[in-house]
Formats: sequence, C-alpha cells, structure tokens
Amino acid sequence: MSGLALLFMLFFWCFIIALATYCLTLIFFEKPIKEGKRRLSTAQHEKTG
Amino acid sequence: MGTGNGREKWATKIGLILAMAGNAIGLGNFLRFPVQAAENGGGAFMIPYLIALIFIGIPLMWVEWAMGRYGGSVLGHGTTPGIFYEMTGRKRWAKILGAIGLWIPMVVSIYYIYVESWTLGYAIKFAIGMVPKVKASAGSSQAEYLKPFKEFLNTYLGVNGNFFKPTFAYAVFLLTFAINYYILFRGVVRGIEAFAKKAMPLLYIMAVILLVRVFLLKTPNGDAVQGLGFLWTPDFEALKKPDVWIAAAGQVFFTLSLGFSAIVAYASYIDRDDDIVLSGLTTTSLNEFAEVILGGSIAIPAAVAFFGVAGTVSIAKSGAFNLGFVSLPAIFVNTPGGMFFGFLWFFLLFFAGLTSSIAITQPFITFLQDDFGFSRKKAVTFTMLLIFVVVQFVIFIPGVLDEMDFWAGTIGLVVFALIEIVIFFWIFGADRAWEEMNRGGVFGIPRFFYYITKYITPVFLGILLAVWGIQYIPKFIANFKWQVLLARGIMTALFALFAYMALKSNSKGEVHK
Repeated sequence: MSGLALLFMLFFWCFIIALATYCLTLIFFEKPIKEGKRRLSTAQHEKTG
Repeated sequence: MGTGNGREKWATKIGLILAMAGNAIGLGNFLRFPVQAAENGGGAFMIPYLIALIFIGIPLMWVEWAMGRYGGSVLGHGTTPGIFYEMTGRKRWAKILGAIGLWIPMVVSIYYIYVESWTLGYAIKFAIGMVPKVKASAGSSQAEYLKPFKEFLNTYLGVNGNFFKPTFAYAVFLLTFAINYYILFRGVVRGIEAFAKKAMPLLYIMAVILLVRVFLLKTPNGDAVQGLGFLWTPDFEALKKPDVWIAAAGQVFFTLSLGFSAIVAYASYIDRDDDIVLSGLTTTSLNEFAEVILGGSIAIPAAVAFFGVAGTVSIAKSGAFNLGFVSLPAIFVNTPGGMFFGFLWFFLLFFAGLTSSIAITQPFITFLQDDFGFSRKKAVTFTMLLIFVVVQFVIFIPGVLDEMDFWAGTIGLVVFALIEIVIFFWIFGADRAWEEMNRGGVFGIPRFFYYITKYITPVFLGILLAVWGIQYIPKFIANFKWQVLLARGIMTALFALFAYMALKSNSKGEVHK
C-alpha cells in the first residue's frame, strides 16, 4: 500500500469518524446542554427580576 | 418527543436516528460502493464523492426531513401527495406528482424484499453448511474455481429452471416477507423503532467482526492491506472523466436513499419543534461510516487477499452482485471458520436490506393512514397484500426486476428528488423552506447551504438526469420483449392506481388515526 493511498484512506476515515463522533456526542448531550441553558437563563431571570 | 396531532411519534431521538440510518444503510453500502470506488479511480473517487455529498446528499437529506416534519406536524400528511398539494397552494396536479413519491418506494419495495430474501437464504445455507465445498487448487483458474459458485447462485434463483423457482428460495422469500410484515404491523414505535434499536448496533458489530477477519486474511495471492491499497490508490487521471463524477453523484444519491420518500414518511412522525439539522447529519455520518470505512474494508480487500489484484479487477468488472454472491462465498468456503463468516456476511446483508425494505414500504402505509383513515393494521395488510401479488411477477418472470429497477430505482429517484427540491425551494418558497429546515435545530445550517440547495443541487440533479437519460434510456426503451412490456404494464397500472388514489384522497389535512 503506497503512502499516498494510506494518506487518502486515513484522511477520509478520520473525517468520517470525527463527523460521526461530533454528531453522536451532540445527540447524547443535547438534552443536558439545553436544560442547562434553560436553567441558567431562568436563574438569571429570577436574579434580575 | 411525545404525541402531536394524533399521529404516532418516535419514542426516542436515538431510535429515530437509527431507523433513518437503517433506511440509508442497505446492500449498496457493502457491495455497490467498493465496486464503484475500485472502478472509478480508487482514492481519487472520494474527491467527487465528497463534493457530491456536500452539494447533493446533505442538502437533499435536510430537504426531505424538513418536508416530512412539516407534512406530519402541520398538514397531517406524511406523504408527498398531500404535502405537495398544500405546498403548491392546493393544485391538483401536485397530487399526481406526489403520487410518484408513493410509486417509487412501492415498486422498489416489491423487488427489494425478494432480493433481500436471497441474502437470508444464503445465510441459512451457510449456517447449515449447504454450500459448494470446493477447495481452491494451485492449478485451477479463477473462472474454473468460481464456476460451482456461479451455478449454485443460478440454481438458487431458478435461472436454470425457467418459470418455477426452487421451493427453498420461495420458502425463504415467504419468511422474509413475514418478517417485514410483522415489523411494520407492530407500528412505528413498537415495530420499526424497536427493531432499529436492536438491528443497527448488531449490524455494526457484525461488520466489525467481518472486517477483523478480512484483515487477518493472507494467501500467496495477497492480503487485505494490498486490497486497501488497490481500493484507495488515487488515480488522478480519473477526475478528468465526467463518468467518474456522475458515478460518484449516483453513489451518494443511492447510499443516502434519497428520492424514495421514505425519509419524508419517517420524518413525518417527528414533533414540530424537534431538531432535524443534527439528526439528518448524524444519519448521514452513520451511513458514511458503514459505507466508506466498513463497506470499503470487507468485500474488495477480501477479494484481493484471495484472488490478487488482477483477479479482483475482473471480479469488480463483473459487478457488485457477483462480488457479493459468487466471489465472497468462494472465499469464505476456503478460509478457517468460513461457514460462520459466510453466514455472518449474508446475515449482515440481510439486516442491511431489512432495515431498508421496511423504510421503503412505510410511505404507502402512511398514505393510507393519513389520507384514507385506515388503521395501522389495515393499512399494513393492504400494502403487503399488494406487494405479495405483484412480487409474483418479479419472482417467476425473469427481466421484470431489471426493468422495475431501472425506471423506479434509478431514473425515478433522480426525477422525484428534482421535483421535491423545486416544489420545496422554488414553489413553497426558499425562505420558508430555509426556516423549516432550521426550525428547532441544535445548531443553524451554514448559510451557504441555502444557495447550494436553491441553485446548485437542482442543477446537479438535472445534469445527472440528463447524462443517465442519454446513456441508458434509449437502450432500455428499445427492448420490447414480452417480459419487459409486462413489467412496464404493471408499473403503469400501479402509477395509475396511486395517482387516482392521490386525487381522491382527503385533502383537508384531517388526521383520522
């Protein structure tokens, strides 16, 4: 396997793995992030209100 | 998620994503992709592939998700006759165009379930050891060695016996049909979602096991690393050929199951404010993982390890179907634990096929429920009965399958995707469409996708349609064999039925069930 072929393969593999990891991380942590934001904004609102 | 306007809703987000990924991941990921890449410039093929993914795949994916969610949560229609009708300001011709979105998945589903049954049949044959046990010898040529496996396939399909197929293949078809029926009958949450949650992780596990096995293959002819080298070595000259760009665009189109209406139907069971931006992108990334990383590392590397580079070139030229059903069985038979790995290969293909076939059968079921007030059980039974009647022609009359695959499964998809994007972005309105796509998104879609989706994607689809039309349509139209005419008659009758039903359907967006 030539170096160029390896480079191509690793580039596309890493790109796809990075994209899938990024998406799945957001999917699994989306709710806590949203709820956290909501809690934060409610707390700020109560503080200022 | 929860309940909306009386229609069923996905119970969990991960269930929805796995069901959508199951729809996208099919036989093509493991068979068509590696052959296309090997034939069209190896690593260089990935350059037009990535460009097509950005300019056609991802925008169309978001368009179909957005149309489906809008249809299901606002209009009470999860299929294109009702959605197009409302989006065009209640034009009756839009219902007829929308009927194409029922016709394509139905015609494809009819033959796809049959093809899917071959994978289950082969998995059973490997599990019970009823496959040719021919050992490769130093003196025999590749063609001689593959001959018993080719004959085995012909016997399985009944090609040698004209009309009447062997009982085993038909029995396995009935079993496959019953499994599809059962999953769909149980409904979106208890059937499709519950199955996807189990089947998709299992599919990835099976693919990883096979990948490890293939990587450990080593024969005097070569090894898997040479196979990866064969698949990934870039031939930059190939980028100058328009055919390579068309092949890449076609592969992206098929792999994401665009233009089938299945994404629209599935997305119609999402709540109004649920995210589709991240969900659509996650589905795409899961599909690409299965295709480029897993699909690209099993069939072709195994073939190179066993037959060498020169032998694999001739196998790749004979098509994806031969690679999967003739060459790979021949390889597995000659490797330690081959029966188990052969079973695993075909069971993997069966799962990939099954998650796709239930998705493409769903649109007509959704249509009957939304637009005719059928109960789920009644809609599934009616749909499956229709499939069962028509599939008999596919099983018993050679030539019908190919004709259906060309008009519905190739040309039809591009035509319909073009119609979808024109109606959504040009008639419904680009700004409204863009707002729909971004609504509830975990993050906003980058603005340049607005211009890509509005201008570049339709042009890309138009070019794809024109090239395929010029290349293939004259050849297909010139065929007047009675089997071909029968296939065309069946497809015309189905379209006439669906167009009539679309015109007669409930157009007020009232949800009955």
